[in-house]
Amino acid sequence: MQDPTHYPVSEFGPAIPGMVIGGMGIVHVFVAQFAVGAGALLLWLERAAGRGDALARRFSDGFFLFLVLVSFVFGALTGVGMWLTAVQVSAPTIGAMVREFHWLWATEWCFFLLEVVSGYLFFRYRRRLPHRTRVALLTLYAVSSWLSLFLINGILSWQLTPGEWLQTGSLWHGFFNPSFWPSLVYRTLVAWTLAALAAVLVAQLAPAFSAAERARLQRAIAPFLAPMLVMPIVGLWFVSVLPADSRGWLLGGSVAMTMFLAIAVGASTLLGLYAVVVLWWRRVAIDRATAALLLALAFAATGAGEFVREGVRKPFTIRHVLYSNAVTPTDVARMRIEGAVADDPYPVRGAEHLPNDQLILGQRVFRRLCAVCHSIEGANGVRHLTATWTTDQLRMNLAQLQRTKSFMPPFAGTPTELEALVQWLRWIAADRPRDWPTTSGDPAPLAQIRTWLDQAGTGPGGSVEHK
Amino acid sequence: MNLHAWLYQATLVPHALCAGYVTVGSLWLAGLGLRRAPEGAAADPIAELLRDWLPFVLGLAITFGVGPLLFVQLLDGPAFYTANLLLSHRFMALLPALMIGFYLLYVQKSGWRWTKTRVARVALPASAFACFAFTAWSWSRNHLLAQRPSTWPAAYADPSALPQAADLLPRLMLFFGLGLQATALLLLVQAGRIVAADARLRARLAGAAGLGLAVLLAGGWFLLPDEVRHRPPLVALGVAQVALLAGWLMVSVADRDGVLGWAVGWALGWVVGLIATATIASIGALAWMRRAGNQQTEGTAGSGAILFGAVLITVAIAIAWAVRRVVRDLGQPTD
Repeated sequence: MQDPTHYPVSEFGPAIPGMVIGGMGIVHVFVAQFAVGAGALLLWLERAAGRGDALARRFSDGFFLFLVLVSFVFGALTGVGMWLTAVQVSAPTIGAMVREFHWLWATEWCFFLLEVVSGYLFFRYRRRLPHRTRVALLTLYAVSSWLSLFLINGILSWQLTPGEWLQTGSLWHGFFNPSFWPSLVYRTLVAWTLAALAAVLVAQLAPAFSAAERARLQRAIAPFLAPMLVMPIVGLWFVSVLPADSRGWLLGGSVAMTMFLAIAVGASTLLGLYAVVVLWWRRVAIDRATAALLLALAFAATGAGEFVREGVRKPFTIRHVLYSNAVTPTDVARMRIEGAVADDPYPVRGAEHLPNDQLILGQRVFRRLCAVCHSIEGANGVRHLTATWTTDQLRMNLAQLQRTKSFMPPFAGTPTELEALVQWLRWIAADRPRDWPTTSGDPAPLAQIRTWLDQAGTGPGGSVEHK
Repeated sequence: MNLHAWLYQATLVPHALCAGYVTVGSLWLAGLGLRRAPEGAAADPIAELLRDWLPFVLGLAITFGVGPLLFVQLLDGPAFYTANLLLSHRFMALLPALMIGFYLLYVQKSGWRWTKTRVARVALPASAFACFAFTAWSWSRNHLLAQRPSTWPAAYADPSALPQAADLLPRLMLFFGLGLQATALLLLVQAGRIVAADARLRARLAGAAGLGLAVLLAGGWFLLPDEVRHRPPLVALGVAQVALLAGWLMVSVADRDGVLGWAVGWALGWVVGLIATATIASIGALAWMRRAGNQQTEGTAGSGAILFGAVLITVAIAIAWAVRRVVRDLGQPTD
């Protein structure tokens, strides 16, 4: 069943849906990647335990409890939360992803089931099992959790670089897309890093260990941080496979994007240097405050990295398939004629406070085309963004939206709808007076808007220059 | 038959049984906590079992729940998404509730001294129950709203048009009825040896299952006028319940050594029967499942489906192998 034209739009007050999924996503990715890395780390420690290291065995037994409480509860539920939040932000996007990759998602679910069962078996019986069985369970856990990452990585990277899939529609062209491998390698390295840093912190906090034992544990865990050395190379590999316009945002085209990239790179570099030089090479024992700070730095790097990954897709949520406002590129031309909200069945809340029908239409257009990324007066608020524009400037900037800012999608409505949006924005900027004149009867602005719309075309901003 | 519809039910039934066990089990545990045990008396074996197993079964419930969450999006994504959006924060509130409930289960299992006080033995599972009951309420409300597209615009304008308690009661009765039956059956399997030697315990479990049946039938009766109109699903449901009663009868007359074997075999049969019954019932009764049944959803076949099938079999073998190995090695000396 295809998506309907209209979904009801959730309102988040001064926040925007992107902030909700961003917050949930960063926390979930952090915990989920930690869980993936923890599987490999525990296997590493179990091998040491097999060689007679009783301390490694004691630590991994305790660390698994931490893993269960953090990953199996919080991680699993934030995973469900990601599905539900994704619906709140863009139901058509998650719908398209599910339609295209449902068998891979179902396959990922199989690995998730194996991860949970092997993990709980280990958790429940670990102290009563011989070494070989512990290794077997941890191997199942580590492999299945990494395969979950493998599958999810293909689906997420497809959104940014669908590659050959755009021509062939092949499941595997979509899955093994241009950013699949760099993204997978990078996420694996991040997973190991997070697991190692969390383990160092847990070792510091656990009262069962002496200072000498903590130092020994830190030395045992530190080699797990060594792969951080290749992170910059993998990062460059990832940037090199990005589409040119996306790379442009990162390298100065969008200041916010560049700043977040700088935070991610800066935090990772600091972390990598400290981890490799101080923890691994010089074997300096650190205290719990430092361990906590390192993990916080890793959280900042993860958060900034995820922000960048989400941001560089603009103006799409699925490149060349779906714009951020859930309009498909082929729909833009149709909506320029038929309208964006002509068959929207959902009423405008608070319509009784709007002075005329044109403003009601304007608010409806805002809800359909803008509200996913913009609030009215809060985050990324349209009032602040457009306050200094004249009315004609507003008309032209909206009509040629993809030229105004090339990370914006083209306007997908009729001149009448655009004029209604302009009047609604003016009314908001004027502090919502009780009376507001309508321009519905004036053909001149509509004709001018039509000209501007035709000039800009229906393609994304990046394509304008090529035309 | 549509493969997605079958997979939806095949994952929904285990999810519902595990979720029912956790919800009813928490309430059961709170009820047991109310009883004043004599000084030095042995711990109630049912309470011990529940306290020990509830977190793991909740983990399974969430894991199995991801399956129907995926397949419902294929079968009726637009209605599911619309209901999500209309309920918005009212629906999303189930996430923190579930998280709190999950951690409460671990707290009551922790063995910390304060958790053994009488107040804690009631308050902890009762609070967890409230969290899980709220989750059941939220999902039922979401599902019901998804089935009523004509109410969506009104519900967007005014939340009082959303499904209310009276609408949800029959569905919640079905859930709790099934949950009671699942809890009684699973406890019978888990405590087979104890139950075999204790006629009172066996009677108590049978009583819980009987109560579950009564609640389920009452809920079904309330649902009857609206959705379950077709005779074949009703007959199928009736046969499943008769089989359930027959199973309890067999357990009650089995000799001590036979109880566990009967319980395990019958529990497996009941779950498989429920999946089949639920599939038939929902395809026959629900418009969206009929639609899905008639529709060849993209990607029903192909390399993705083959990969899924192969991995599913591999994972099932791996799980069976792991469980067998753990059972075998539990008696071995650790190194």
